[in-house]
Amino acid sequence: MRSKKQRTRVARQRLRTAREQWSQAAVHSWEPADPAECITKSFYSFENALSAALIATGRKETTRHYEKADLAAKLVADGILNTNIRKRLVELNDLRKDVQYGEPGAQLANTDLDDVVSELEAFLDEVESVIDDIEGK
Amino acid sequence: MESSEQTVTATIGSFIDGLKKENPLQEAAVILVGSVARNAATANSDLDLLVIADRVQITRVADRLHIQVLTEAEMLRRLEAGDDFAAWCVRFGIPIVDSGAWNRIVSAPEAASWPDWRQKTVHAARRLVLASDLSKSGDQPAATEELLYATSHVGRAVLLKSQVFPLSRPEMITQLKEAGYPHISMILAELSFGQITEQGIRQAIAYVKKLLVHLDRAGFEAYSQSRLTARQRKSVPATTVS
Repeated sequence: MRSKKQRTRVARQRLRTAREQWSQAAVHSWEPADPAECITKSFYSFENALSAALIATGRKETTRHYEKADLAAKLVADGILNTNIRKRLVELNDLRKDVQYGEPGAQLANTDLDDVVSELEAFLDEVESVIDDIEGK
Repeated sequence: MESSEQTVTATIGSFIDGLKKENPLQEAAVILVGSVARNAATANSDLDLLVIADRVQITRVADRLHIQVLTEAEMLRRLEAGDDFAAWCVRFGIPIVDSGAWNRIVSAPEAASWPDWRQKTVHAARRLVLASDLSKSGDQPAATEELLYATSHVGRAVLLKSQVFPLSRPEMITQLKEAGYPHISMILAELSFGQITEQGIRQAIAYVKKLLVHLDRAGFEAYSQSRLTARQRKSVPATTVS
């Protein structure tokens, strides 16, 4: 079992990856935008941030996307996070799958990339605060 | 305990009930597609449905249910343009609800067209660059997933070019081996069943890139160039697949 120090170190590492992915997603949201790449990077960034919160609080991770979405809701129910990203994770996973099939569908064209990126940035800050609190900063 | 077959039937049933409640379905069709339609689903497979309708309100009834909505005209346009997803659906899709639209699509001359394998190389290049980016940033699970998509696209391109119609992803492992591509078949198996190491990911990225360039050098270079130009316009350092 990991100590608190080990947990927060691994969580920070995961959060750094999430921030790097957010930064790339933000670039793809600029004109000329690349919606497919923006939503894919945002999806992985949200997931990594969520994993950082799970690790920092000593909770078990999962590799399955739909289970991650459920864990996102559980962290809110447990009072760890304020923002419930469950719906957003499921939505981004769907959009990502549309892209995977080939041509992106109308739903992707109608997605506000700025909204996704801003929401993601706020979530990353929220997870950072959770880690700070655990470290006693 | 419910069997997976019972779960699939119940999920489809509640989706169609919801769809009928919210929409007039006189001209709609609901088609079961993907690995479940081929009876080749794995533990990680989603349940995929194609809905053919002009305007439709969709209610999500289960997380693992993935719905693709297209109009009849879009479906015919895609078939004519050589889209392999549309071609797959007309060959292997199982109609669950059809008020005539699906029958018209499968009877149309466009339904017999062979998909354009070059389209798959463009999709593969996009996913390969993503996999490479994610691997470099240390997110190996995400890199593995994107690489699985890239490898599937390349595998489909190879099979289509060899006049073999690609089935579902789990079945493609055998199809590729039988078509004389054991290496890409092995990579697809390793990625599908999560047995790939970090070094394996790097080697697989290099191999898939090599195969892509061999298949369609002009298409790969055109994609790389368009990506480079977009990044230069945003003053972001370019990334390459190494």
